[in-house]
Amino acid sequence: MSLLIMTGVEIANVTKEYYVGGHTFCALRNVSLTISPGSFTIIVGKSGCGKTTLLRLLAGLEEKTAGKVGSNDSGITQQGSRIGIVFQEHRLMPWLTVRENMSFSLVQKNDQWKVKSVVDRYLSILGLEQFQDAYPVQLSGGMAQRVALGRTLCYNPDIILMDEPFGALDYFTRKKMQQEIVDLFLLQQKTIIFVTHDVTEAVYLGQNIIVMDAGEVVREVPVGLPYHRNPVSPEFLAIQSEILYSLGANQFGV
Amino acid sequence: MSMAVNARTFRSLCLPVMLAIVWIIGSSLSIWNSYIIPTPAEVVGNAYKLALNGTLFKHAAVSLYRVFAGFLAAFLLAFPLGVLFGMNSQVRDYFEALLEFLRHIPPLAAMPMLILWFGIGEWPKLLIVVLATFFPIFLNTLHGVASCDVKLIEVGKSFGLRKREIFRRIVLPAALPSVLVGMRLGLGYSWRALVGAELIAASSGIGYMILDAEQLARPDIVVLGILTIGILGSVIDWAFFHVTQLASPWRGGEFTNYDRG
Repeated sequence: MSLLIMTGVEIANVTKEYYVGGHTFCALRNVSLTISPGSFTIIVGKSGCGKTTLLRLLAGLEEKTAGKVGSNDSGITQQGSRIGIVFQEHRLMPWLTVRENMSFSLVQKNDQWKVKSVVDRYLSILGLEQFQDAYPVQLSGGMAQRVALGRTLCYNPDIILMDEPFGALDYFTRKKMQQEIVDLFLLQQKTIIFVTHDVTEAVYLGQNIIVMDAGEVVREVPVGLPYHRNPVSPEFLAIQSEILYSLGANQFGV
Repeated sequence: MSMAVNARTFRSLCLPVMLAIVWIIGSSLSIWNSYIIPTPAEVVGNAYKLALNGTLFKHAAVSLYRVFAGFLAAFLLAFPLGVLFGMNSQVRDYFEALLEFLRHIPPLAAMPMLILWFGIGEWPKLLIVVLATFFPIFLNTLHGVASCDVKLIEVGKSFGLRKREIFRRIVLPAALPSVLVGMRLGLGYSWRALVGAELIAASSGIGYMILDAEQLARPDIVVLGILTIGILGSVIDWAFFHVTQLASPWRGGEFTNYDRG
């Protein structure tokens, strides 16, 4: 059995500014976070609140303007931890089949038998065996997103970053994918940071919910409910209202 | 699927067959002078005769050789340059004005200069093909490389791929359809430019065959030459298209949609 590396995330006073049309736009303002290893963290907020910027910064796809990323400001990828991202769009390579897309990050590995066994495992877990030879253009949105998730899982990251991965899916597919993510989390206990604007999704998935508004963290809400959660239970609805209230109170001064 | 293909083939052959029928009927009823439009019997008879004594194949082979040699040279030049310019916008800036100027010059306009510099041997003809083929391949490669989806490149970065790997595994395959379109266009252009060059200065090739027939007042051989050019061009294009389909199976074709939603 492989050694399980538990990796968390630490950022301090991170600010990110963009220069748009000669004006400075502050996407993140003094954001500090500590995310424990093996936890499921949700970043929730309205569109434009900086949640995707924060995620891209953690992934190393954006440069911060100020602050510290990682315990000694070396970036979270520099600590020997692997980061995998699932984007809002599936971003599958159109010229590769489902199987080839899933093994995309493993191609350099020499041990082809091992690559095959890893891909086989996730094809089976995600129910994609039948479609392994299909091209992305032949898949439905939900299926393509599942392949994208599989591709990230095959990479075996210590930290999985997810940027509204189910945003474009229909209600039923979205619910099914949420259940699958919870199952995977329970199975593998990887550190997951999941961005969404859907408060119900946030409470259903997360152990810890970070509420963001206008580039700032306005609240952290721990969710003590056991998995799988009932979205109409009073406890669930209470946490949901609390988050909605935090978001509304900032916006409307209620 | 095969029924759809058959229907499409039928539709695409309708007009050529009708034209052939009009040609046959018009000629047999002597609606036009056979010197103005030679009869099908003359053309087919001559095709048989010239095929039998090897003249037709000799000229066709020479033209084909020039097209492929010129095309290959143009590809070897245009593809790396297209990649370089597509990847590096600064290099592109330096050459943009010059390339834009050259792009608008029809290759045949350079023929007198090429004859002056290289004589009337093979070189001017090959260079005409290179000039005609270069820009479609170059510009399509450049466009394919430069317009590679940044989101796919980010996927490569997120998996820790180095620049060279990102280029090989993402940029190049993403640009492939565009490169193939450029090559297909280039093949068509090269064929047209070559026959033009052969009409000006050559002692062999389909263009020369047509020019020679004109001087000998043999319109039947002129028509045979035109038909040979059209048929060879179509066959090459058809073959190239099917090779490109094999090279990019994720595009086109009739997919079964697995969407069960």
